[in-house]
Amino acid sequence: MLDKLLKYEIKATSRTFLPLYGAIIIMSIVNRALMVTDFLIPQVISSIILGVLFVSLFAFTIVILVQRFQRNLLQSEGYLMFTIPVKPNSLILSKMIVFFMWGVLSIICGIISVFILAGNQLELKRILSDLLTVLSRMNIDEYSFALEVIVLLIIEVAIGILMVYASLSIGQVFNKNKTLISFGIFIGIFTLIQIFVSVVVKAFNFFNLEETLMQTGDIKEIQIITLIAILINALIAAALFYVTNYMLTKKLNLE
Amino acid sequence: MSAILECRNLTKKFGSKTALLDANLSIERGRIVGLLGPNGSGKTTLIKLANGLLTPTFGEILINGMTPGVETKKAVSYLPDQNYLPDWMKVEDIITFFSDFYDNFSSRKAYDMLSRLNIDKESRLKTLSKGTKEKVQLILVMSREADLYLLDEPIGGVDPAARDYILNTIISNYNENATVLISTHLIADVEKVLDDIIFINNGSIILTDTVDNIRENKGQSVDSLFREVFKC
Repeated sequence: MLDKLLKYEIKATSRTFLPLYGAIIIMSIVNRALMVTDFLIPQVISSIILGVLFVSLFAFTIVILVQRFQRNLLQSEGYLMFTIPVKPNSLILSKMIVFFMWGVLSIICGIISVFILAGNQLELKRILSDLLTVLSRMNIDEYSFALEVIVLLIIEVAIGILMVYASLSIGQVFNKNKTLISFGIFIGIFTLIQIFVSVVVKAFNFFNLEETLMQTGDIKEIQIITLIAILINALIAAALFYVTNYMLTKKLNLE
Repeated sequence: MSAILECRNLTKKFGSKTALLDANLSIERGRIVGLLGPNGSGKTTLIKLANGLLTPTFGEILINGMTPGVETKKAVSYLPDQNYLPDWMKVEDIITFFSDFYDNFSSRKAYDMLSRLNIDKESRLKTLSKGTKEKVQLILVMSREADLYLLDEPIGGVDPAARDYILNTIISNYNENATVLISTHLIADVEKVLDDIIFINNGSIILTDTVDNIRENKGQSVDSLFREVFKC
């Protein structure tokens, strides 16, 4: 059932993202074309439009993160989504995965835009070959470290998404001012995580990352620290997922 | 055979307000049941509890002997009392959605009913009138081969001619072992199709009986009994 949920989630969200990507690419081409001319005013206008488009892409991403969860699950559309025979954890997972997908696509869209704007100043071929050279010179430790950093990054984003989901799903229990209460809960969860992390860091006396790096420069040691960071973050993400799933399974309160 | 829907001491509170109080109920298979009561009596709360959209404050509600979950959702076809379909979808999109998620949904049946009611499958839900949207929702719900149909105010927003078509659709579209629970306060319209009635007021179930019994023993129609019981 997860595949079908993904299909509909992509369908519902692509209506917002695809036109934006299209507009960004087109405006990048327009900007590039105007750069070689002397038309100052069109140049300024088109670059402002492109800037606004990028800001909207960022803003829409946040709005859609909240809206797809709140509107599709906790308001009238929730009558549909919670009466199809799927488990709430599939609903949460499908929304997360699709959100990640748009995140990656937005980054790619940004990179494409930069290449269009730079024109022949940025040689795609040379950048790729440079990247390959760097990759080929890395040893196994550096590879696994790079992998760790990527995993850590993904978990951090997941925590961000799940913080929103958890606060909305706790907020829906209340009969009034759900959105406002959810916002308060979001700040509460954020504070709790900060406290938790700083307690853990203190408790383990989590060696000063910078000092370790400066003194020993040993990648193995940094790797271990990163690994512990991954574990702690994964724990936080799992807890947030559990809370969201629990609220949607046992405490659903659709208006 | 066991009851299709059962409530045991079912209670639901919203803050200090009690929407349903200690409801005990058993609904058998193969019946058309009217859940009748004035506005705010707890009809919708009961139906939402049966769908797992609300969770009980106390007591339990069972469908096919199970608490609401994935298995009961396969067996229940539910018509909410409001617009609940994503309005960016076209009529044909939502039909695909239903056939994707419900094994017991028949697209052919749905398209037949759509053409009978002259609803264009290419229309976006957003552009449809309130009454047409209600018809689409009912078509989706009745195109499923379910054990239990929970219809919350199925005829509230449509004209009398469409009402007759909808009621006919309801009684001709379910099999003998299925039960249909219709919540409404438009009793005169549904009375002719009902086997049983449940009267509910202020969150309490005050009467359950068969329509035949009411006619024979009390010599009344359900409509006049309702007016007597709920006299303001």
